[in-house]
Amino acid sequence: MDLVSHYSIIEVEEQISMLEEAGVTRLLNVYRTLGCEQRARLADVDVLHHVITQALELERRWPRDLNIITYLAKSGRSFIDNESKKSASKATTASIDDFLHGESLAADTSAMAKLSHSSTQECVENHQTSSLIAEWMEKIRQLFVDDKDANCFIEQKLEEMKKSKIMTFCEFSDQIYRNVEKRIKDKVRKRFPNGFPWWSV
Amino acid sequence: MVECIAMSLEFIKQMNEYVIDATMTQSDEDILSTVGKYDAPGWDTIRAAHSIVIQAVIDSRQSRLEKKKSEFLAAKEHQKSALKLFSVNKTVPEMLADIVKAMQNKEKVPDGLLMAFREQGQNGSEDDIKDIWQSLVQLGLIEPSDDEH
Repeated sequence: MDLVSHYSIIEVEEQISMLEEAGVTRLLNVYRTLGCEQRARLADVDVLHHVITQALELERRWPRDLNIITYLAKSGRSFIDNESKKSASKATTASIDDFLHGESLAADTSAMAKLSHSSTQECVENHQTSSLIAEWMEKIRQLFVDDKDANCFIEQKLEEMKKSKIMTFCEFSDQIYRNVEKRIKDKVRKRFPNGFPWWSV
Repeated sequence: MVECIAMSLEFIKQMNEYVIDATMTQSDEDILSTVGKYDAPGWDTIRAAHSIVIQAVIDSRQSRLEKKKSEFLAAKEHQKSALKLFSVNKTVPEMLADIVKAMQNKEKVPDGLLMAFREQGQNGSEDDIKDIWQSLVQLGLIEPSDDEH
C-alpha cells in the first residue's frame, strides 16, 4: 500500500478512535440526507458501521488529504449509491420475471401494467411530480425573497448555468459568488435540515 | 414538461447537496443542538453508534496484535523445527567441534558470552553441548548447514 499518500492501518485506527459524538451526529445526518433508508434500505448506523469496517480492513484506502468526516461521508455516499443501484436492479428483474411468468397480471405494479401505462396516467404522475417539485422550489424561493443576489443565483442555477455564467449574469466577483452560495447553503439547511427527498418523486 | 421536471429535479438535488455541505461544515455546537430534533437521530442512537465505532477500533487493534503474535510464534516454531532438523544430522563430537571453532573466533564472540558458555558447558553433558550448539546457531555464530564434517 502507498503509505506516502494513504494512511497505514495504525494511523486509520488512531484517526477513527478520535471520532467524537459531534462527528458521529454529523455523519448520521449526512447519510440520512443522502436517503440511506429510502434508497438503500439501510439504517444510518448500519452505513456508519460498514464504512468504519471498510476503513479498518483497508478495503477502501484513505488518502491523507481527506479529513475523517469527508472520508467517511464519501465512503457512505458510495455505499448508499451502490446499494441503491442494486435495489433498483432487483426491482426491475422482479418485474420482468413477473411479466415473463404471467404472474400478477392484475396487479398495478406488474410489468404488464407498466407496459400498458396510459398517457393519462403518465400525465397525472408528471403532474404530481411537478407539483411536489414546484412546492419545494416555491419554499426555497420564499427563503430569499429579500435577497437579490441569492435570487439571481437560484434562478441561474435553475437554468443549469455554470459558475462562470452565473458570475457574469449576476455580476458577482468570485468572493461574492462564494458568499452567496454559503448563505444559500446555511439558510436552506436551517429551513430543511433533513434535505429534499428527491428520490421520492 | 418532462424536460422541465428533469431540470427542476436537478436543481432540487443540488439543494440537497447544499444541505449536506452545510451539515459537514456546521460547528460541533450547532450539530449537537440538532440531536433528537426534526427527525434527526436522538442521543440513544448517537451513543450507540459512537460505541460501535470505538468497539470496532478495539477489535481491529486486538485482531492485529493477535495476528502479529501468531506470526511471531509461527516463525519461532519454524526456527525451532529447523534447528532440530539440523541438530539431528550432527553428532555430539561434531557439535563440539563447531562450538570450539566458534569460540576461537574471538572477533565475533564477545568475552562475556564465551564465559557464559564455558560455565554452562562445564558439566560436559550431551544435552549441554546440544543446547550450546543450538544457542550459537540462533546467535548466528554457527552455520547449521555447514557440512564440512
